[in-house]
Amino acid sequence: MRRQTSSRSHALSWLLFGAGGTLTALLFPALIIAGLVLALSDPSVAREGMHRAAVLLDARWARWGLVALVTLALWHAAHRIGLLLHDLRFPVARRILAPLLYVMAAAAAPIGLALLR
Amino acid sequence: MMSASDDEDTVVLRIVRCEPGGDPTAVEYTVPRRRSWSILDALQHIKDRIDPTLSFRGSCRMGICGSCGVKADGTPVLACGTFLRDARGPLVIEPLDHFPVERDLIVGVDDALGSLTQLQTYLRPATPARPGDPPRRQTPAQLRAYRHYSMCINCMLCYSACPQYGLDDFLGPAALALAQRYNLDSRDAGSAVRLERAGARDGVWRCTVVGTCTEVCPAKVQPATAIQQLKVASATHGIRPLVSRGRAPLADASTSSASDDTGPSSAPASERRRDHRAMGRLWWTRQRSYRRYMIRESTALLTAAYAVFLLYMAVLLCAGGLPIEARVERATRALVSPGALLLHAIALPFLALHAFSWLRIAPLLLSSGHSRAWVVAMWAAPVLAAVAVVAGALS
Repeated sequence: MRRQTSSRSHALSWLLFGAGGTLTALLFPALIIAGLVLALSDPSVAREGMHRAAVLLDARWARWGLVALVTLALWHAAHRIGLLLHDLRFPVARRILAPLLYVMAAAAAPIGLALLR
Repeated sequence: MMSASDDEDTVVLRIVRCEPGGDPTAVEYTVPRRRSWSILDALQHIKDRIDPTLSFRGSCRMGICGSCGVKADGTPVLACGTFLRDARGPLVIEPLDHFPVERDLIVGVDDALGSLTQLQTYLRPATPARPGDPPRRQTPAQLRAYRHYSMCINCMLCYSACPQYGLDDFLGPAALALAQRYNLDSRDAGSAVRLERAGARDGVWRCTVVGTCTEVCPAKVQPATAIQQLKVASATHGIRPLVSRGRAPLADASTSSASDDTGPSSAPASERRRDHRAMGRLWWTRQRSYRRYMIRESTALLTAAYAVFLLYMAVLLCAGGLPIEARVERATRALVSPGALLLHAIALPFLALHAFSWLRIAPLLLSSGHSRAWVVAMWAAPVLAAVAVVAGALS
């Protein structure tokens, strides 16, 4: 029974990790390039871009989508940072930090929804 | 230094030797550099002509039996398939990593063989075969589904190359690839038990896709691909009961009894392996592929940092009570700040690397014949979300 629960939690965790990895791989480079282009361009162009983003985020679905993106990205990062600590042979740090990182990633969803209400 | 008697062009073999219970010592032997000689030929030459005490394994001499695995210049290879003509300078020959050394180049592989038993890497038909039964035929397509995974010669090079096997309890690449081989076999009915075992703590989840198992495999089995496909199947197997309550359990009575068939090897791998050589914190500096892997993994830090930055920007743009112009002004100031620019400049190469490596690994999952609908759904959802966000931004 315990093995089944562990197997399910691993499976769920990995699926969330996979979804986060795909989203970040598809969106983050594009968002960073867009951010860099805006930041390095004329201030009026940057302001126009931010205005578009503000208008987009007025829609509830866009805010929810952004919170989902941030949460899954943080989950993905938490999973990999935990593995990195394992690979670097820091077992104590991993035991303490990895669950904390998962909790922080999961908490990003309600916190994000509350902040972007 | 011991040397060969002839005056031909020679090559030095620096062999790491180990007596039972003793410390490893490097001994140099000079052997003729003959174009047709493999490392195994050179080892046999040393044993016949120079030092009869040298111990190593070897049998078929043609890359089929998988018994002559050694490390040559740090890379796990088959001694019979690696030639002296390719050697530059002294060639360092060591026993395979992560296994207890029995003597010189001979290692004990009981732990890896135990993983094969635990994963039941043999055919488990739904009904036992009886004399007079017709043959269980397969179409060419059914054979193609698993044929490449059945090419494994159990040479254990993938175990030696896999850092996760050295770091922790892990069933290992070859055993998991063989489990996938039988799961894909149309004549087999034992996948539920294998998935249960593969989904355990020391199973597929230990694999972090370093990829060195596939790089060193002399039979081109691609264990890394098999493990990623097994992850999808295990994930599906693990969560299916949560989304389909009331259905019959996946491992029925006839197969679940076999899950007790793990015997004494169900003890933790670290205990089973006796004296496997410890890996220090800097193990990843040893090889280029390991260093590449660690750089790839470190992109997680930038992923987290950029995700937090995105949320911060969204909060600035959505702060309640302020007119849109004020929110836009605040967000613009934050975007052009030196800190944000620095974050963007550092994050871009790292996240580009993440995107490149992730999208290179993702198709491995899509080639799985098992649970294809689940995989497609898993990848399609984020893609659709991305398209929706971009479409929303452009409209």
